[in-house]
Amino acid sequence: MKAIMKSEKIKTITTHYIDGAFVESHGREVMDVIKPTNGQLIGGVMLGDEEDTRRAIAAAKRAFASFGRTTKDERSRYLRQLHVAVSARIDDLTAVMIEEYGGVARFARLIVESGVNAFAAAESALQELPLRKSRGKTTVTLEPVGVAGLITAWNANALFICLKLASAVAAGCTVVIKPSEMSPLQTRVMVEALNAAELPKGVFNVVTGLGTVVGAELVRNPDVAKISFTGSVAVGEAIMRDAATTMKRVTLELGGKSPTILLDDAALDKAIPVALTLAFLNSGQACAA
Amino acid sequence: MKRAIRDEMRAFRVGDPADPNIMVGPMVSQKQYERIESYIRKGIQEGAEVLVGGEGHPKGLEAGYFVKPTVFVNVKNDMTIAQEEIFGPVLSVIAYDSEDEAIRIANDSKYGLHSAVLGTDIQRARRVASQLQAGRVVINNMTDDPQAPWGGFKYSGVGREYGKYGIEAFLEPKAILE
Repeated sequence: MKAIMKSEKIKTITTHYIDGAFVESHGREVMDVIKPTNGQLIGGVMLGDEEDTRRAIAAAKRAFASFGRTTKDERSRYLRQLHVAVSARIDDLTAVMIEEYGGVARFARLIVESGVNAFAAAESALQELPLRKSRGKTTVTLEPVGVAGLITAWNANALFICLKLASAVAAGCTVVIKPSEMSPLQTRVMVEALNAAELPKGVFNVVTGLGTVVGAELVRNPDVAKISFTGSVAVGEAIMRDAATTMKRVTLELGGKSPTILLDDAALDKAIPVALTLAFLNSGQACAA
Repeated sequence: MKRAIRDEMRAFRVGDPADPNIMVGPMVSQKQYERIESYIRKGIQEGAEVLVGGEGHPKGLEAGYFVKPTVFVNVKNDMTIAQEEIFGPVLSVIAYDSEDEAIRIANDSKYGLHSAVLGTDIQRARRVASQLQAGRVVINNMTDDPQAPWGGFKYSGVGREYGKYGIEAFLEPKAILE
């Protein structure tokens, strides 16, 4: 099935992806999706609530029992399946990023391709990782931490989802992904793509909702072992603080204010375009900008 | 320098993101649009000079959340626009006298995610790069490496993504001893 986004068609997304299936949202509040080039309504999304989140966590926990015991080869195969499945939707993923987010065409494509590449890169990195090492009478293994909550920002939706999912799958973790509520149309296309990869059900689950609802449940729930978050410093601080109650492992990718130093021997005709490109990357909506 | 920037900025056109010749699209929402505008106003209030861009929607782009790609010059590093993350197309140009001062200014930030060093002498660029408090420094180009770690020093974050670093973030070592 292809999701073709036309700005005249109002599509309300009412499902989340839990345990290998699209299921109707328990949360009933609908949020508008507004096209940033003209302020027009182009869609809607039903926001997940704590119940949706708990169902997703339960599915990820069930799946972890076996997924956590997969071998390097098995995980590599799943990463290849993900790579193939998301590659097949590059055009649609790019189009919806331009439509819903307003990302410029060339950059949008680059972001989607980076997401696709993340699965291949994770497979390659996994091959080099010693999941099991013996020295004398000591054997050290690298164990998957458990169920991970992946909470992502709105400025590169496809990349964040793919990148975090690829790392988690390579490690043998199952996940609940909470993409930004600003990106539901993009997320829908991505979930269709990921679903086509035919991973065991419950390995990844996707619930769109507010950070204060879905995100908060992921952070407080004792069945979630880890949070990987990309977003603002303010929310990152809150997550780190709230995660302490259940001693969660936390990765935070927060903001930036990137300096570009032009040395006095820099050739201006080369340096200025690079400096401006860096500053205006993703229309300036970048942690790296 | 100002002339070079003004000239080059003509290539950074703002407009319909679906148009392959456009480099800057709209902000994602009304809220973000207003945020960027308030930073531009702040920059002017605090005494920086608008070289390119400025307040308000670009001409012809009054619908939607477009801002003018903006470059401020004569910026001091303690100005709001130099210290806070704007998350929009607003660049602050800060002058320095010595290389040490450039490094000091670059590191005088609560953030430390990405940075760049541009110069012809590679050894010198590397030396400067080694002193920057940032998770990633690019030299002369917008280069990427999917196996290189990505993440922040200081308030830019905790932990790393990409490559083996990203996978390690989801693993825990366990030792079995006989």
